[in-house]
Amino acid sequence: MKVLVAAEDSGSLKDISFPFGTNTSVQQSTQPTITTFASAGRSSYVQRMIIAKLNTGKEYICIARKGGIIQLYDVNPPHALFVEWKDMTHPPDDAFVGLEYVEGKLSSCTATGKLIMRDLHSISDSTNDYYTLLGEPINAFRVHPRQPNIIAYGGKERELEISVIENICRRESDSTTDSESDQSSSWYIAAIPTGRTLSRRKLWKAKNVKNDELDLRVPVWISDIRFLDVNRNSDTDFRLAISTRFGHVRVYETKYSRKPIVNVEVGDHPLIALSPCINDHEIIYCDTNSTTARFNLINGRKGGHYSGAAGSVLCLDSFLPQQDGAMIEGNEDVASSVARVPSGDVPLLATGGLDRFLRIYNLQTRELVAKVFVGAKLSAVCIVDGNSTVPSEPVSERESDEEDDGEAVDSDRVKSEGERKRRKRLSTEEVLTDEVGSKDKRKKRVRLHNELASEDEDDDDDADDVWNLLDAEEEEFRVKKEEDEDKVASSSSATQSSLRRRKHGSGSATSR
Amino acid sequence: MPSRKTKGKKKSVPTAPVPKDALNNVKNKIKRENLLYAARKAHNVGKHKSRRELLKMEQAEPQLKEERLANNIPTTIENTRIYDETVDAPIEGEDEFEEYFKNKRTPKVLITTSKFARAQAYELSDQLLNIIPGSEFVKRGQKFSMKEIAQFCINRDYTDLVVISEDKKVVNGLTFVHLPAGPTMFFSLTSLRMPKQISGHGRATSHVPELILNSFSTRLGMTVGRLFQSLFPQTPEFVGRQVVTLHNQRDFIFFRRHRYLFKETERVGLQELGPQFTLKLRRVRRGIAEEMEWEHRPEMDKEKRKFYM
Repeated sequence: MKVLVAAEDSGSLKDISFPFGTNTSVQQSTQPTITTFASAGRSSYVQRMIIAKLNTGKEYICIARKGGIIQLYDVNPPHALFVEWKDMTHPPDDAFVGLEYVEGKLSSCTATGKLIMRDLHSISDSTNDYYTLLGEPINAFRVHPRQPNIIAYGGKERELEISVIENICRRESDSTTDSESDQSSSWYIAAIPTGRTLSRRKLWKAKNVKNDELDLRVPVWISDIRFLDVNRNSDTDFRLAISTRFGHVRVYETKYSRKPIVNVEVGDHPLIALSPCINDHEIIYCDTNSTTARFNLINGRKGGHYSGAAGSVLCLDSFLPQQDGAMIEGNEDVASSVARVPSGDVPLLATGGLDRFLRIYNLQTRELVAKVFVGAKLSAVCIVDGNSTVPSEPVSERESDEEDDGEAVDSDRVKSEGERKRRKRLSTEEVLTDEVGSKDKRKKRVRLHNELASEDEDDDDDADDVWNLLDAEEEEFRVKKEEDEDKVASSSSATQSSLRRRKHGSGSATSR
Repeated sequence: MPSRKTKGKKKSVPTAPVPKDALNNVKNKIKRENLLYAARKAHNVGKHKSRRELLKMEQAEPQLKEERLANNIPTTIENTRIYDETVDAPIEGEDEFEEYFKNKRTPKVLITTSKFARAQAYELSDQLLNIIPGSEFVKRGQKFSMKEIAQFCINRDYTDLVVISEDKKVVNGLTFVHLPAGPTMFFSLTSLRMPKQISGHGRATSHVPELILNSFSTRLGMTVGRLFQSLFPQTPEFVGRQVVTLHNQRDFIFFRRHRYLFKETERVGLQELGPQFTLKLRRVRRGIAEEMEWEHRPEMDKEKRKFYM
């Protein structure tokens, strides 16, 4: 497999190729081949990196360096520099917080809110660079993987906001009715008479959660955003997950509420990044205390850990292989205008961070597939090729924490199997629709009610509609519950007596 | 094992040594003990005899001794240390100590203690003022947190901040914060002995000492070594003949201070000055207590042959 990493210490990129089962800590193991290129010194280290496939069919590494430099390098050796953009007025402290490539548009966003969208299908024509200011500070930025005109951003004391870029329009030429054919419909940036500015319309803004148990306002500091349910055919309703620097993972559903529908504190430490998982209802987060773990967005429970990292993990990359040509939700690379088909059939997770190691895990089973010492702190990671030339073997780590992790993994595996069973009953479309389901959904509905009940009066106009919708759901749910109770009542007498006994406890037994 | 009682008494001891396996069939305990005693005595006598013969042979031919030693290297924990690919890994790019190494910036160190420190913390800070040339001590107040103090130091052009952690009248830790954006390293401090407790100790002068850093081999070890280097000026005063040693063995760092004197070309006399203590790295954090770069976890102690520095 081939992985591209950005080394922070030398400001360079590294191309690392190795088979599954590589472990540099084991002397006899196959050693990876590491090629370093694009060195620019630590003062211009790579802050964001993605892989883009242009309409020419060639793949490029897009990197955003500290100091306002954006470059495109060839993915294959000899890694020639394809194009470079330098912003001379860019202050050195202004970090890049987002670099996205959707449908031919490369968007870069900095911490002071400078958003620049470039059309990579016509690079030589520089009049296709558009910019706007989103206001500072921004710590997280995302473009919708299917719709390049929808952007989400947030930061320190800056609530999550979704905006529509109005210049970007869809060419309604000869589009078929099939929603999967986003590849055929193209997006273009329309020039507006005033110049190269992007005109932005605010679509939705989140509200802060309730005060905590001490009745203190909960501070806001968003560190990463991910769009969920990307195949939804809507350009006004979105589902997003965010991570905060106070250890929270929150899910927002803009159709229903400005407050999060799921708000869980997964740890004491700041969360750094989120990464998509195989299913849309799970997400992977990493924090400053060397934890990388899965989180279930539906029942709000922590999943298993991807363990082994000694230092904080700074960058994650999920590799989700295509299955039978169908688009896997959450794989933003597939949503690129000319769909990048990643080769490989095992879902993987690449992590890199401060301990100077690159670790590749099996996304499903959480076992370590490869571990490579890279020699420099990693600021960005991208899996290019997920193949294994040899069948993947679990790597026997020599580190002492492996034994402990074995125990943890086992207990987690048991838990995850149970979760997997429950997960089968729910599909992504069932959650929060009119269908009545399991206990979790009931809980969720109750939570939603509580959240909405505490909202202020001066709220969105469609709050009434939401209430009506919920009332209808509540009615259906009540009907279903009555049916269930009837079923219980009509069951055999033995079960009834056992139920009664359980209800009233073992009073007779303890009365001595 | 023959009991002490039987050894003194005169019992009939068989002359021929009996192999130990035969002892299993002897049911009489007293007899069995005597046989065992005889077997062991014969074994020891034989061993001493063969060693005396070997000594004579090796005195005649020194080459035999060399061969024997080369073929019989004992396995020690250091010998059988688990392979670490980061050992002797070159430092790629720049790290936070560039200012010190490239620009040869003179370190300016501030020493302080944890809040509400007791006498031993002040004693150690006295010693540290003497060890680290050009350092200053500031008594810790209760108003400001560590991050705020670090910011004040940055504003006043300090390069390092050293915090002595004290708890229940005992100094138990040292935190080194490299400024402005350097790593924060916390060490637990044990076996502290003040100069007074060292018999025959010398009196240290204010000369800039030489620095000896032993066995910092892995990439993490390099970072730690560079941190210690960045505390001392790069211009040692050889006139003072003082040397500070930080010796890393099995992830314990032993701090010693000596005055040396060359007697002849091969013999050196050492007089221990100053305090001695042992440090163990517990946490390395990026920046001033930001993300965790490395943390010692108890499960790391399970593997006795794995060392991280």
